[in-house]
Amino acid sequence: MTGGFNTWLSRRVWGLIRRCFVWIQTALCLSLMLVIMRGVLNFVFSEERTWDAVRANLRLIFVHAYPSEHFTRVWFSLGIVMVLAGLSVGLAKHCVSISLSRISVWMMVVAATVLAGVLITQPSALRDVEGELLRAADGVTLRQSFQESMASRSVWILAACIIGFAGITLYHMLGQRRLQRTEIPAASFVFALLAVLLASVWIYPWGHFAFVSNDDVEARVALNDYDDCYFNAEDFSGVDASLQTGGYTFKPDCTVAMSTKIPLTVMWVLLVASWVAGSLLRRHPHAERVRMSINLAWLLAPFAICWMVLRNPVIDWSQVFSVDLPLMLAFALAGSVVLLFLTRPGASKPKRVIAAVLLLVALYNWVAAFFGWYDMLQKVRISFLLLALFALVASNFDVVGQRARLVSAWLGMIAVFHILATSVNLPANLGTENVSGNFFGGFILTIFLAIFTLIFSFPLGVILGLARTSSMPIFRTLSTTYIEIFRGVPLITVLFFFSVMMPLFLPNGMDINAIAALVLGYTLFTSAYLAENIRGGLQSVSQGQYEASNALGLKPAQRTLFIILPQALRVSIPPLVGQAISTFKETSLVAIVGSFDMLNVANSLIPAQNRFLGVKMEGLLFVTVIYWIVAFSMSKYSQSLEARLGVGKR
Amino acid sequence: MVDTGELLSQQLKPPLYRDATVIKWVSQCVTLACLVAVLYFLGSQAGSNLQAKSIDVNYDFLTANQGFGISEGIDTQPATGGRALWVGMVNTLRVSAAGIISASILGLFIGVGRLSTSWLVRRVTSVYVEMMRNIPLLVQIYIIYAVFLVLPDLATTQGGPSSGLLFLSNEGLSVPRVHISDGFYQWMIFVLLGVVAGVFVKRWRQQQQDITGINKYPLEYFVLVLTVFCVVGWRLNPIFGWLSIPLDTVSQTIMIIPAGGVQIALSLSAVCLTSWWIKRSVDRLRTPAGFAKLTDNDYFSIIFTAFLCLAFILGVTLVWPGFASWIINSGSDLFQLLADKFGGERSSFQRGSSPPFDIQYPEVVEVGKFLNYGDQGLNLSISLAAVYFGVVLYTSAFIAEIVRSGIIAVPKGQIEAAQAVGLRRSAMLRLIIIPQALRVILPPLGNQYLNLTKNTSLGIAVAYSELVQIGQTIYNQNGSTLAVLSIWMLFYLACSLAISTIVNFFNIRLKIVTR
Repeated sequence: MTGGFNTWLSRRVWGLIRRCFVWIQTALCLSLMLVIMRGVLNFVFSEERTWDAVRANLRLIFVHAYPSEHFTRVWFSLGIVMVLAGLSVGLAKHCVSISLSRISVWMMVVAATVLAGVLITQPSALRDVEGELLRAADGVTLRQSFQESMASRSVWILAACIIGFAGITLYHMLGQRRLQRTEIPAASFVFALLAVLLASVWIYPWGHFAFVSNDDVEARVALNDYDDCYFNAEDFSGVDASLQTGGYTFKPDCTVAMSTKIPLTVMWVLLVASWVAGSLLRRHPHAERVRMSINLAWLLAPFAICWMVLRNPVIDWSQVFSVDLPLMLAFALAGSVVLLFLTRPGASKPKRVIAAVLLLVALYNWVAAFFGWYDMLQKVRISFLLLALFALVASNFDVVGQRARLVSAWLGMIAVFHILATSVNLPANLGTENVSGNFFGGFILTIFLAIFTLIFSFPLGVILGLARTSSMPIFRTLSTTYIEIFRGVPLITVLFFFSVMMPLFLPNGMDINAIAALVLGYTLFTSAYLAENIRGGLQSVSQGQYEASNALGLKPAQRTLFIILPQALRVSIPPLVGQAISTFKETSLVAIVGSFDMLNVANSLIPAQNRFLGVKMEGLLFVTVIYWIVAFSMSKYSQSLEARLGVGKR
Repeated sequence: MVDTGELLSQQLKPPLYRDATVIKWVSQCVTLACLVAVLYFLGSQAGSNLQAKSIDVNYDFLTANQGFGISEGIDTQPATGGRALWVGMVNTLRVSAAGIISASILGLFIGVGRLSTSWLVRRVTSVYVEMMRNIPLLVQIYIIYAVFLVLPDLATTQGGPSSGLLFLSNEGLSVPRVHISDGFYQWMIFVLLGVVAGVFVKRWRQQQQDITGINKYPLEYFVLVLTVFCVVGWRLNPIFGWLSIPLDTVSQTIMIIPAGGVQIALSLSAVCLTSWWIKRSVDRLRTPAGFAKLTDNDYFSIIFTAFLCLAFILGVTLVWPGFASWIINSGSDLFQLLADKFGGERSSFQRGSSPPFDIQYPEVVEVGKFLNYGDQGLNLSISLAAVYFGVVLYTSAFIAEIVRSGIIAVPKGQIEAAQAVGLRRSAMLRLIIIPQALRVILPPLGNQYLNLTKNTSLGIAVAYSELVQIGQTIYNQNGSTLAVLSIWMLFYLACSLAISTIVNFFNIRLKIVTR
């Protein structure tokens, strides 16, 4: 009897549970999600939050103590990036597109989420005339009733209804006209979203909150333009080392300042215009050439922008005319003569000997510089090395048409290099000597670290990856040791080494900038990981490729450069993008070694301000959102790249 | 007939500077020499710079009193720098181990949830993954720390209902501490015996099961035998107190060995090992006819091994002659320590039966004006909580992705076959999918465990006393940065070696099972 009962129980009850399992887990998930959402919304919209701390410190978070009179440079750099991005997206061979029905579904989801948020968020607290919170006898905050709170959130409800209704209508229209598969470029969708945000900057009263300098205060007082402003010098301490005195100003009921609105609009216009231009150019016969030059521009942009953002614009013209210009002309002339001589048709042996001697002298210059045997401008040393390298390849250019090509390449090279070197030699202080070189920080420091780390570690990673798979045992051992050591230790110990101990290892009188030392540490660390990714790619190249290139009689260097590496890198693109995301996230670790990137600003600078003492969560959440947006879009890009390259699919 | 090939190769033998082998070795040796020269230069520079700043680079801090307290760990007032670093290592290992276990479980659930049949579960878990893995770990740790900081303070929680067993406040969590007491080592012998007996019983039951085909519960029997031994040993553990006498004798015997003997033994074993290795590698290259054609790479590895052996012998005998006596002393100390644990001067029979574990309840003490947890309970600070939750949430997102891709990698036919056999979803997951998915999952999983262990070093941001934080405190005091750095490196390299060994072990086992 009991057996029968057990069987019945297991059949009926467990069968029921099993059948409903999906529903049970869905219900559990839904309730968990709603609880978490309610918690987050209550936290964010709580009356105890001080979001003014973020609004007032936006400048600090993005550019730290970068002098405001030089902001034009930052905007200009951003403009370059916008133009390049617009052109690249417009010119891209694979146009990413989104179907309209998908957008309509997104709209409905957004509407539903907003409505759910409106419904589940705790009603707002009641305040008295002076703005103090009303509390019951037991200290609990008094809140609006449900109806009142729904009424006060009517704007949100209205917005959600409009978006949802638009989504439903769109979906229906598409269905009726059999247009579900209509697709629009993803870029235009993103631009439309950005346009909505931009419009809100022009229309919505975000308010004007800022810490301002003493000069600003005085100027406004002189102009009698401080009706809505509130200044308090006491609030100001600990804000910004470059501004010793000043005040805090807030105008809650106005749109943001013109100095923010106009550049943002210009950025949007630049982005869209260059995208349109790029799309028009896509079908042009010269599109491939334009694409190449844009890729080159992307490679050069970080250096150009770094120079534009960091260097002092004051140029010492006497130095330029007395040293820089003559040097450039001399190298251009002498180099052309040497190259013309070396590219004469005829016996190649003496020419090679001359090139080798040049190379030896060039290398010797560096050794001499290292030990300080004689003084020489770094520029001369590099130019000499470049000349030697050009001389080495000269014997391949002894055909009639090729000579001029080599010489013109030399002239272009020397011009670009000397212009860059002259500009880099400018002092990196923007005329802010009183700030002790600590003006560089915030979001631009984060981006700076990530980009330069990746640029420098990529070639190193390729070399290490090749060395690890090479057949030469010493190279292999060295590379393996290096990779395993750097992969075995935490990044923070590497950063400590480079920020604390780096100066000890330098020769006397040599100094390294703190941020440069950090970039060096990051580069060495990241290159070990990149090397492993590239090794994976190298191992995926089939043995037949090696054998085929050997059969063709290619030299090992040619085989590696033209046959193996292109295939290996193609396979390792997705993990390389993954590594780029981690590097971006890892830049936050400079907060521990004391640099003021945006995380450190949010975590330790803002809570230290008198006005926002201890206000930490708001800044941290804001920074989190920025990190998340950048990392998430990169990972989405990586996924689409993976799908497009078809890696991993057989 | 003339062998044209040979003739050609004689005529076309390239000059020395174009010979592939010569170029290969010269370039490698030159690179190595340059590298050594640069490192030597940097090292000597660092040496002279340190001398100029009168900072001494040595390991003296390991035995000197550093005079700082540690906020949590097995010893909050370490007597020496070495002890302080040890406390830090234990803290690192503690949070890593807990993190690895929790992150695996959470990651498994979320990874399976990513493939659920329910749309909502799929969505929610993928949102979780995208949230967690795209926010830097340090930001997460800071946020969790800030959240825990708003817990009520000790003064308000002290009179709570859980008072005496568990305290939770913005000082952290304090729970009863279970720690090893006198009888532990004797009891461990019982446990070991239990394991051995259990293995025998399990094997016997397994045999029975294989013969009869009836379920004989081998695993259950193993657990039963082990439990019986543990329970019996709980009361009977003093009977192993006599073990202190032989252990003491071993300790005394080791002290008699002369240092020179150890040096000779080490050198001899190095020579034997090297020659065995060289012989084996040459034997491997031998053709059936008995000839071995060695390439330049083989010559290099033979010379390199011989060189390493020579370097080891020189190091043991000349460079660091104290190494041998260090081995002798520490070996003797180890056995002396064990002998003490088993009874030492006090006879364990006189002490009577003592349980292997002891328990202490948490307490709240007044430190100056403020309330704080006393040393009795096991105190887990909010720094620990921040690091723990940070690494668990962050790593679980990555583990979930690994689990998901592992499950996807299982061929669809396997799932269809399991369904055809009539397996339930849970049974299918347990018996068919996960064992096969594990093969794909394990290697990247080991990598994630490694990352988790290294990521606990971010505890320094919230002042959790792990190895890096304590190391930093030490070198801030006496400037021995390089020495501390070397200890960091050794510790983390050892950790990564240990984790990869364990993962490889399971990897190999899985492979054998599936073959």
